Amino acid sequence: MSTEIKIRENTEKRSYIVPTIDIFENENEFKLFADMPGVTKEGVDIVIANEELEIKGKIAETEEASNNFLVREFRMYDYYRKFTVGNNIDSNAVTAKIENGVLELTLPKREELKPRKIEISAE
Amino acid sequence: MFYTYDVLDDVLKMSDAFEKFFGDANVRRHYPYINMYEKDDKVIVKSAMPGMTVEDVSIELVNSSLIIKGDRKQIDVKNNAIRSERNFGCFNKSVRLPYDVDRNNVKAVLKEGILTIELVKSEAARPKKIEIK
Repeated sequence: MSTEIKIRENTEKRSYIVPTIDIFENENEFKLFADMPGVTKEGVDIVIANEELEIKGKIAETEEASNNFLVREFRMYDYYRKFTVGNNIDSNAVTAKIENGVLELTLPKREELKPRKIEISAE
Repeated sequence: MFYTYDVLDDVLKMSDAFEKFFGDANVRRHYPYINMYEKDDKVIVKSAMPGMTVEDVSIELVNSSLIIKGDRKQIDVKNNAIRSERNFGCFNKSVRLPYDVDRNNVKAVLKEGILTIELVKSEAARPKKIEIK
């Protein structure tokens, strides 16, 4: 399962979960799937800036610390993950959807990077 | 009394010490991970199972165990994977309940990849105050 990280935000240190991710590539786009159980559409925050892709997921309901846990195998923290994507993504055409706790991101490549077939003109 | 020394005894002892030291980070756990806690007369079991729909999961109550079964299917993506960290396939997990529960009063909801099962303690498992005369 996902690992946890601690990030310092302003003055307080917060714990985040690093979601597990699959990335697929074809000639036109990248497709990214991230497992983020407990995150709704409103909680997702995706930023592409400075050649970096930042994924944040805010969990809809947090667990009370006062809960009397009998078994505790996972924690309900917010999600955070960052990738370096370079400048080969068309950031205006990025689409995202979240369903059953899985975020699906479609990141189209920039037009000039797509493979192009060069026609040989007959003389 | 005989005592046969086995080098593995020490290894096991050491791994127990490690587990104790690192707390829940090293606990042997099986997918899907669950949290279980009490709330008044209820026992609540939460399980994180991203990508699962209601049709993919089944829950059974057998004796005093809750059995969670499911199959996570991989969507057919015909592109080349450049990173794959997620796991797919069948799972089967049995969770032992600490109390007797009311079998006819179980609620289960699957929302945003989190399964929440609400069980009510049976009459016999609830604390009963005894009057002193």
